[in-house]
Amino acid sequence: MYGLDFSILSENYKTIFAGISMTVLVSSIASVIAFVLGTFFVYFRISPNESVQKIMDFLVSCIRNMPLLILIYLFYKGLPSIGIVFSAFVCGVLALGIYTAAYISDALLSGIYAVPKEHFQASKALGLTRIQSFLYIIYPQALRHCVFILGSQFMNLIKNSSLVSFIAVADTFYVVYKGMADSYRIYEYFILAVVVYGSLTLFVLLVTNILQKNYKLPAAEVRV
Amino acid sequence: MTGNVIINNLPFLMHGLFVTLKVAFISIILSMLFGTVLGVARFAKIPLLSLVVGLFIDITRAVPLILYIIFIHFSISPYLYEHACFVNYLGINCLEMFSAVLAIVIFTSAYIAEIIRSGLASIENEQILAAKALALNEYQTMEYIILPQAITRMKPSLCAQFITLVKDTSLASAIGLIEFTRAAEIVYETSLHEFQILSFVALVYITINFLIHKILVNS
Repeated sequence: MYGLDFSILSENYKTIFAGISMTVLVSSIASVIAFVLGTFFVYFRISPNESVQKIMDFLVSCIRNMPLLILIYLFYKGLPSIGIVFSAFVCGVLALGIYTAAYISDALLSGIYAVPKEHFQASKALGLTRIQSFLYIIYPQALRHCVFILGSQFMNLIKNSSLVSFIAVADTFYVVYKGMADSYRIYEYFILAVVVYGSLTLFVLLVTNILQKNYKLPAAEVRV
Repeated sequence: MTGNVIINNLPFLMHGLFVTLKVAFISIILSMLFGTVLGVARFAKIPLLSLVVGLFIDITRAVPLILYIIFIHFSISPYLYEHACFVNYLGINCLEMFSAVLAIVIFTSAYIAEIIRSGLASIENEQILAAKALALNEYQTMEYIILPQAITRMKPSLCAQFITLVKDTSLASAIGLIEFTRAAEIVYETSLHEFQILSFVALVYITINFLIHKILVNS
C-alpha cells in the first residue's frame, strides 16, 4: 500500500519555493507584456485602413492557431540559427507574452464592439485625434466591458507558464517534474502542483471578481 | 538546401503528423462523449453527483495539461494499459499514446462539460414553460426546443476547444510520443536547420486549425 509521505516536500522546500517564485515572476512579466502588446494589436485591428486590419487579423489568428510549445521553441532554438540569441528566461517570457497577447487582443476587440458607435463619432466631433479617442474614450470603456474574459486569459497564462520548463527555466512544473523523476514520490508532487497552480489561478479569479463587481459597465442597450 | 531537409525527412514528419491527427481524432470523440456526460451531470443538479462532478471539473480546469500528462504517464497509465486490451481496437499501439490520449481526454472533457452546461443553462426558462404550455413532454422539450438552440450557441466554443486540443497534442512530446512536434525535434537535432523546420511545423499546425475552423463554422 502506497502511503502519502509529505516529508519529501519539506526536505526540498528551498527548490520548491524557488520554483513557485519563478512561476510568479514569469507569469507576471508575461502578463504585462501580453497586456501592452494586446493593446497594440487591438489598436491596429480597429484601424480605418483595411489592409492593416487584415494583416493584423491574420497575424493574430496565426498566433492563436499554433501551439505555444512551437512558439517557445521558435524563440529558443529557431532564432539562434539565424543569429539572434536570447536567454532561456527571456525567450520563455516573450513567447508566453506574445501568445497571450493574441488572445487578449481578441478579448479587447469584443469589449470595443460593446462600446456604442456614437462614442467614436462624438470623440471625432470634439476634435480628438485617433490615438486620443482610443486612449481616453474607447479603451477605458472596452476594458470595463471585458473584465471576466481578460481574467480568464490571465488564468490561462499562469497555466501556460508551465511550458517554459521545456526550455529549462526552473519554474514550478520543472521542480515538480524533477522531483517526480528523482524520488518517484509522484502523488505528493502532483498534489503540490495542484495546490500551487490552483491557488495562483484562484487568486486571479478573486481579483477578477472584485474588479468585475466594482468596474463592470452595464451592457449597452441593443438597438435594432 | 534548406528545402532539402524538409523534403528528405518528409516521410518521417508525415508519420509524426499522422500520429498527431490520430491522437487528436480519438481524443475529440472520447472527450465529446465524456464531456457531455459530465456537463449534463453537473447541469441536472443531482444532489451528491453534481457536487463531485463540479469539484472534479473545477480542479481539472485549474491545473496545466502538461502536469496531467506527466502524472498519468507516471502513475496509473502503465497499470491500465496492461489490463485494457480494448484500446488496441481504437488504434492506440503504445503506452505513450495511451497516456497522452487519457490525459487529454480527462482534461478536455472538463472544459467541454462546462461548455455544454453553459449552453444548456443559456436557454431561458420561459421557453421551457412555453414548451410545457404546448403540452410537450420532457423528452420532446429537450429534442425540439432546448437542444437545437443550445447546440447553435455551443458551436463556436466547441470549435475553439477542438483547436486547443489539436494544439495540446504537441505536449505529448514531453513523454516521448513521436508525434509531429517530437518528429520535428528529432529532425532538427540531427540537421541543425531549426528555424526552417520549426516554421514549417508551425505552418502545418496553422493550416490544420484553419481547416478545422472552416469545416466546423460552415457546417
